[in-house]
Amino acid sequence: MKRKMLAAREDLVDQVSGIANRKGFTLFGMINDMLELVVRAEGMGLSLREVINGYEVVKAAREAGFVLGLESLWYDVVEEAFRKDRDRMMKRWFEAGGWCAKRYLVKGFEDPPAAFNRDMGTFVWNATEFSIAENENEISVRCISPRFPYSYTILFSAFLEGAFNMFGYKCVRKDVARGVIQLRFRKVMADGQTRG
Amino acid sequence: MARRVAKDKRLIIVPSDLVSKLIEISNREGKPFHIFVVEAFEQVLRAHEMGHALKEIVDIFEVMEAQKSAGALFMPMDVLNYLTGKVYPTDKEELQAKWYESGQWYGKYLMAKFEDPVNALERILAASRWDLNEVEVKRDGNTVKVRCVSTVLTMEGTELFIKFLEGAIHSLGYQTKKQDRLRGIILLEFDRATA
Repeated sequence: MKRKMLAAREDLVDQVSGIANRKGFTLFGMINDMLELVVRAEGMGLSLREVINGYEVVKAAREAGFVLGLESLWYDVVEEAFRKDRDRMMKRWFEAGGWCAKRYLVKGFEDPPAAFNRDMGTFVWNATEFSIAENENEISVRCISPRFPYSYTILFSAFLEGAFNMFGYKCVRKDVARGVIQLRFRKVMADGQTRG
Repeated sequence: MARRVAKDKRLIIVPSDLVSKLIEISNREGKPFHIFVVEAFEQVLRAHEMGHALKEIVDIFEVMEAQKSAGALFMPMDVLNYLTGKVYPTDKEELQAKWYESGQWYGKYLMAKFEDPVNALERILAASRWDLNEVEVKRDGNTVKVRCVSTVLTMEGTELFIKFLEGAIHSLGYQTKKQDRLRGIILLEFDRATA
């Protein structure tokens, strides 16, 4: 095998060398594996940084109580349950949103709503557009997906409402149609009033 | 294997074909090679700080990308359990048929996407079904054995998941030989289907 010399920052080499020692690998083997992973990530059209960012999303979803499932099956069950008992389903999704937000509140994030916004933006990868904009005491949520059935759109909007309610916001405007969710929330002040 | 070269730098030995590939990638990304190498090192350390080996992260990410392209999405687990619990008693057969069909489609997808779909199924379930504590999908000659254990899977979830697995493995050319289940425990055995 032909070999070449590669110059790398000493502090980084030392740290990687420390990890290699602890794991019982040689530095040569460890660096080879690492560089091969760079090539493998590139084969997916991504950098290593992007791969690790993507992994962090999966980890956050897992910690937030989400599971992965096939979209078609999910919509079927949602549709059927919604048809049977719409009000109870909405209540349940509202509560689930609240529970999810509570998790962010107790996990020790510096800015829990911001962490929730960041994660939701990536969890909802089946939406063509998902944005949460914060402006002083107001939060606007916009979610668009032509694939969402009516039932799922309604229930997902209840989930978001439950989440922002837990963060101390009240929904002051709601436009929901099949595949389109537009919500506006206002912060509830200490006196129980909302101010925009 | 590391030699000191200049202040703050070390020379490390790397296979030359790998260096050539890396130079190509850094050129495509328009990054100076030394910055590209520093970034790679930083990501290894970042993965380590997260408590994982970089390879593990890349493996999981690859599986997630496959799931994403198969039409998977994140759903709140307690809501999913509640919904299936709600619908299952009255629409059991219809739901089972849907899960089975969906599994069949998924099996075809695995065949199209992976050289070894049985192995891919195990990797995908292990990486993406984190509600399962143990997953094993093993091929032994003409037999495929599946073993899943979950402490959180409901009875409805267990039965539907069995249908999904059967659909997937049937479409890989196997037929069910044995089935054993309890809430959260699945043991399946399949034989190669005869023409």
